[in-house]
Amino acid sequence: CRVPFVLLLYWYLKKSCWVCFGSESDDITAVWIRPCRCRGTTKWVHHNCLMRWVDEKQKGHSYTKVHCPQCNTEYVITFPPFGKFCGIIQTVDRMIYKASPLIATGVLLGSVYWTAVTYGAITVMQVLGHKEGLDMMERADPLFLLIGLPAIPVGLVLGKMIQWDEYLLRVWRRHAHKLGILNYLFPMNTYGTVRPTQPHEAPAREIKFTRVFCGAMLFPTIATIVGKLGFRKVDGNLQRSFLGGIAFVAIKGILKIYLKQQIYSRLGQRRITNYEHTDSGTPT
Amino acid sequence: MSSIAATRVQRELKDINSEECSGQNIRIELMNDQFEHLKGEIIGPPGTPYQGGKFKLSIHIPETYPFNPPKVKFETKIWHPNISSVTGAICLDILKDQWAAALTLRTVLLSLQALLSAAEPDDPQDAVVAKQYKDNNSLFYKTAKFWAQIYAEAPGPTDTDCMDKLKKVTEMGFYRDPSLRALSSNSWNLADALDNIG
Repeated sequence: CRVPFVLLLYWYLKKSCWVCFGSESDDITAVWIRPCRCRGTTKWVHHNCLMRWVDEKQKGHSYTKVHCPQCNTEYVITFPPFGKFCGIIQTVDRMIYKASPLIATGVLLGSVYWTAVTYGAITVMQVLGHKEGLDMMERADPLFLLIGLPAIPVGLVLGKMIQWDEYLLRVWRRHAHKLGILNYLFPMNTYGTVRPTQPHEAPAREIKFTRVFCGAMLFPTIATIVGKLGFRKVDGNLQRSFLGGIAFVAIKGILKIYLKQQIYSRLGQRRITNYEHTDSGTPT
Repeated sequence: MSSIAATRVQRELKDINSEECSGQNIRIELMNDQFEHLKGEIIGPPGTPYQGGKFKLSIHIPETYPFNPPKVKFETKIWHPNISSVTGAICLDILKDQWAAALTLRTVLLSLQALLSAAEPDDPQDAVVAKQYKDNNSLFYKTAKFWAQIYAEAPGPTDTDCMDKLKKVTEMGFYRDPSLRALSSNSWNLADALDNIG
């Protein structure tokens, strides 16, 4: 098919908007631009039509760069000059926008830190006794207090995360046959038991954070109470609390190991019962 | 519907109808006097399994046309890696993020015709078809041709083996469309198709 040359020339010269396909005769008031390297049918475009295309591409981010979809030229978009006052307001607004997350994080971390310091101070007074604790803290270097006091709860949590009883239990299971007497207390191998394979070969139980946290935070209080109840004759609050803490940890550990061992051996003595036929009931 | 969209579709339709060279084997029709829903038709290009088939398309013009692409899908069932054999949804970049306002319904239909000639199995819409296209191209060709003959009135004698198998399955009481899809998806193995029909 051949198109007459005159018609081709007419198409080339006539303006047609590549967005709305309107020509000059459709709307004589419309503003035309040629914003890119394109020639031919996509050379001209209505300013308003291209503005809408740009809006569609930017999706509300009015500083995103937009390129011509045909020739990939970047459209140069100029803004009318901004008043000085508006400029200042915008700058301040942007600074606040950028600073807020930082400030919020800072406040959050700060409050966690001060909570830790307070907890540390309370713990010191609890363990050393109210008056002695206050005296000690007044005499100490402030820098040492600022670092040392928050280190107390952190240390307690970290200490609580050491699962020494699990380790002890594992060591004991491995060498149990060498300790004859203990086997009476904690039966290890009863004849005819089926040792559970899976659960106890698996790694130690997962550390549950809330439990570790509560245990660690309450530990100084418990240590003090146990110390006061069990070691009345010992002089000095610190020594008493220290002994109380050790006693509590030891007793708790032993009970835990005992319970675990019982569960373990009970698991080994499970039996599956025979299915009993009953005439009255229908099997389901 | 916004005035830009309506007037532009109107102009596009006028251009397509006044096209002097109408050898492109594409057609667009209005469904009603609204410009939102249009019907399109493309003829399967020669040298492809779709040769001579009439593939109907549904075209939905969004409110924001031409700033956003028209929503096009195949109404006629077709076996093609980039077109869903179930829904007719099309995977073509210019109908998604590569759309430009300078593109038209005519160029979209021409692109779809080109897609029928040159599939992109690495960017599939229908994974089953794409796998067959890559692994067993002759089987793909046979299946696509059979589909075109069944659904798109493509000329030529139908494959007797395919026809027999399709008849066997439908005589068991299954509908034709799921039967054909099951056979095509299972390399025309009757037993496998019956296992996976649905």
